[in-house]
Amino acid sequence: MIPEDDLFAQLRDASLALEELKNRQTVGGDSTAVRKIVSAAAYDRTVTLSGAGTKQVFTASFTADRQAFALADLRAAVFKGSPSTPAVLYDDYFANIMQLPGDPATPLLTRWRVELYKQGSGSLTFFLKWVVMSVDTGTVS
Amino acid sequence: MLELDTFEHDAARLFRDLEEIKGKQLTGGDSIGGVLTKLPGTWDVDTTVPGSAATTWWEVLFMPEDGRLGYTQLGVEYLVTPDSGFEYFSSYPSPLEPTGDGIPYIVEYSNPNVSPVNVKLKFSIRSFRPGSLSWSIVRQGP
Repeated sequence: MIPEDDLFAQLRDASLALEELKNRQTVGGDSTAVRKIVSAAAYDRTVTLSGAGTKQVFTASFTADRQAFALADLRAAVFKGSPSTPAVLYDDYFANIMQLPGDPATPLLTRWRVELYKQGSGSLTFFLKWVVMSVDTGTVS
Repeated sequence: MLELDTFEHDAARLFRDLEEIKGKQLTGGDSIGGVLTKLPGTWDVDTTVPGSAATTWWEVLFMPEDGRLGYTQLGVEYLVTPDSGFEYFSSYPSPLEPTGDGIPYIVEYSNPNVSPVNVKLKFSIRSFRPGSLSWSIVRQGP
């Protein structure tokens, strides 16, 4: 059995801790968990384009595990010839990525329109890998 | 009179609970409340852009209902009729000074056509707090 003085000391500590918790708990900085999500595949899309200025439009999707209307950003990693040879921005391609409007009927789903424009003459096969940064885990496709 | 054994046990358990709560509490997943703001209707903008207008800027303004700054993301979909295959849209946070406490974005259309085309746009905003959405043309011309 512990002395009563120690018990009262513990109660005082517990009371102080409760007072701290009752203060404003700000969310942000390193208290926000941000995840990087990729698929298991070597690449998510591929296309062969011929000629300068030709374009292909893709739709990339992220389905969050839990959070409705999760904040999410998409990066498209672009490769040429093989899924491991990076394409050169401007020399080989340029791209335009826009998040599509959300749908209340599918609150876990985020979609992006990805436009890939080929630069230069000739034919080139592109491989695209989606990289999603989000405040929730989920699936990329 | 205190039952000291029970009291000691309860106090120790309470203290452990508090220590756990005071530890690092990560926010993410379903602990963040996301809100989608969207106007009714299939399209928000349904307008004719003249062939002489090489560039059109729409400003999309999200106004949080509590007037506080917030983190937001804009969603945009477009449809151009007829589609030349060279239509180009981009969107970015507006460089224009916002009026009031709104969070403004620019949706820019680079028009490759010489004849009038029909442009349809649909917007949505993801945010932490609810608010209202509006839009206007802030520039249209060569």
